[in-house]
Amino acid sequence: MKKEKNLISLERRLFFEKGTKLAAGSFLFSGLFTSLNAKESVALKVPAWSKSLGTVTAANLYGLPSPFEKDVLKEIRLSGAPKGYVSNSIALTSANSPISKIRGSITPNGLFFERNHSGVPVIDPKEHRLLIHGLVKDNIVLSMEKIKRFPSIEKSYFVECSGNTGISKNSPPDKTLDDMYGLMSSASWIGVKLSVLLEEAGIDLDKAKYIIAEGADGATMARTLPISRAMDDCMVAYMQNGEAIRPEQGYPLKLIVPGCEGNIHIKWLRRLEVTDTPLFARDEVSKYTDLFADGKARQSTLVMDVKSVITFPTTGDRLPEAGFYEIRGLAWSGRGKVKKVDVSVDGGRNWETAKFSTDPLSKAFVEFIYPWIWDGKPAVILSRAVDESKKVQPYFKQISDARGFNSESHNNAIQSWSVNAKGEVHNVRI
Amino acid sequence: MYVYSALLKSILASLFLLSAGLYAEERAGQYQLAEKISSEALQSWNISIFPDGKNLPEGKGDHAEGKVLYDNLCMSCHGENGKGGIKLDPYRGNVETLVKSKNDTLVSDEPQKNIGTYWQYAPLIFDYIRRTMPYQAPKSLSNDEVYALTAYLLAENGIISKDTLVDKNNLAKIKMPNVDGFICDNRIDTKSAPCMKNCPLPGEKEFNQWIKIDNKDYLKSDCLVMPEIKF
Repeated sequence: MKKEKNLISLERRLFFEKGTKLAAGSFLFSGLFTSLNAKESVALKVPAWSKSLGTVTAANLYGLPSPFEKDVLKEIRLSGAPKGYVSNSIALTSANSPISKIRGSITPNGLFFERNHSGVPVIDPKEHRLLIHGLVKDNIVLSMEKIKRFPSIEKSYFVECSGNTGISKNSPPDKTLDDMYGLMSSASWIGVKLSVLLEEAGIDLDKAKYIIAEGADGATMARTLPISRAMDDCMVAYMQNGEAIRPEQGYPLKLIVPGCEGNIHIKWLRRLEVTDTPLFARDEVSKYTDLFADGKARQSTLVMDVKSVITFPTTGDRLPEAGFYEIRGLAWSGRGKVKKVDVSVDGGRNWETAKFSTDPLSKAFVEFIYPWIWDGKPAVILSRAVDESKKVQPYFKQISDARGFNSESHNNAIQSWSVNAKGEVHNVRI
Repeated sequence: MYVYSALLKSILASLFLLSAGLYAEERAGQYQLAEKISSEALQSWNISIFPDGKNLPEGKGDHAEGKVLYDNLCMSCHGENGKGGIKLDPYRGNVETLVKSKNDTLVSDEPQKNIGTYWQYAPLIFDYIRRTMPYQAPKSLSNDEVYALTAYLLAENGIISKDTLVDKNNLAKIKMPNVDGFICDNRIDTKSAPCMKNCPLPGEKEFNQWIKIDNKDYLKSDCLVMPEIKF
């Protein structure tokens, strides 16, 4: 009885807080509960770590997380190939970011998702060169040392594989957040604006329509970048969250195409060819195109549309009891800033606007938070983002109605999670 | 003193250049940090092959030569005659089929995307094999060998005859069956208002009235546009 009364008072309080738009979190510290319902704690002990010296300072000269965080790791699935048939660099070409276990608008470098086509090359930065040629005044070559001397900028941008949250007819209840959403991450990048380097070569803007960008790995993957983006906000980055870009992210040089599908962020960048025709590379024809039911396929689908997902609670979580929880999630848009995120806890019938835990940046992740009193009854929770271009995140049905089920990628649908009476959370599609 | 005044002059000059809004070409070499390179010296990296055949190298090859290479270098992953290979990566299913089977179609619940049904331009086959394949030893093939494998795959797909010798003069003239199969990005293809109270759900009658499809508002600037090719 008492607990219910407290919940009602918290609900009133949340309603009041939302109504008056007070800062998130403040209600927790304002004498909200009349008294605690929890059972009494056992007497406190003084633990061993309070009565001894700790480990030596800088035991690891490159610091590591607490040993208690040893399970926060990238997620891989074992190869389906016969054992020993092919090397691991062929058998496994992606790893998901464990986004259910991390938080916020920046992905730690060690947990950034991985995707490559011929393994991760080991590149000596002293030997690495960037070639810029084609419709330019002078064909030029730049060493890493020289690239780092150009005027630099720092920007936070997300990278999302277009196949993140792929399109499928069925969406089984045991699908996890990391399974479905792990092919995305966000970082703060430092580098040179691409336009500065193209201008240094003397790009012929009267004739140039595209830039062919190409990596130095075995696959030497190439993509065609439209000139409008190349001369706008693209970056040639060499730092990721304050340290050199990780090998699996493109060390020593990565092309950042803000807001666009991950595949066009060319890693191990070695060549920029200024042209008047597209390359129609394998990865902009055979892959990363979206096939419709009538056999036509949509091409040049660079922008990643407005999207959000609740990251707590999700499949695999079990809410231990009725009471207060903070629903948390990520939102992002390839078209600019996320303007707002709405959350529904009744299966999409009614919505309320969530708060951000920091200010949204253009084409970057932002975390949203939503205070929720779970009453112990089955619930379906979902989030819906709106970006500054007024694009609204759609339901999956809107996407499948428009595109059918044969288009594998660019799915930005609303994600729903069901909570049953035991507090167990599962994937559900609305 | 001289150094300072020279520096000042160069700062003023660059400010002038910037404020005058001159073209990028006139900003070339502004930082004096790059090395120039001749067209000849960059050829080993100049590997893009365009849909109109631009940059195709000398060389030639046919189906018979290609079959020997395919059976030795490609079949272990891509399967016999390019008709489907082993399952390597659980995220992506089997290694893709390269060669169209009789009943393969894109208009199906299980569309078959391969060179015969899906690929847009023939020179792309040459470009991709030369830059990426064979998987374990990319860039190990001669241009003749790449032409031969290209001929093999085109002939196995029924696009050219088995006796066609493929070279830089005829590859771009080979018309791929799906050359007109692509449209430019025309998203956003879903539209809805952010309803807040008593909102309709997908499958309900009111839902269809609430959402409006409007795909006029898209980014034309991202489109890959190829001038018409005479096949």
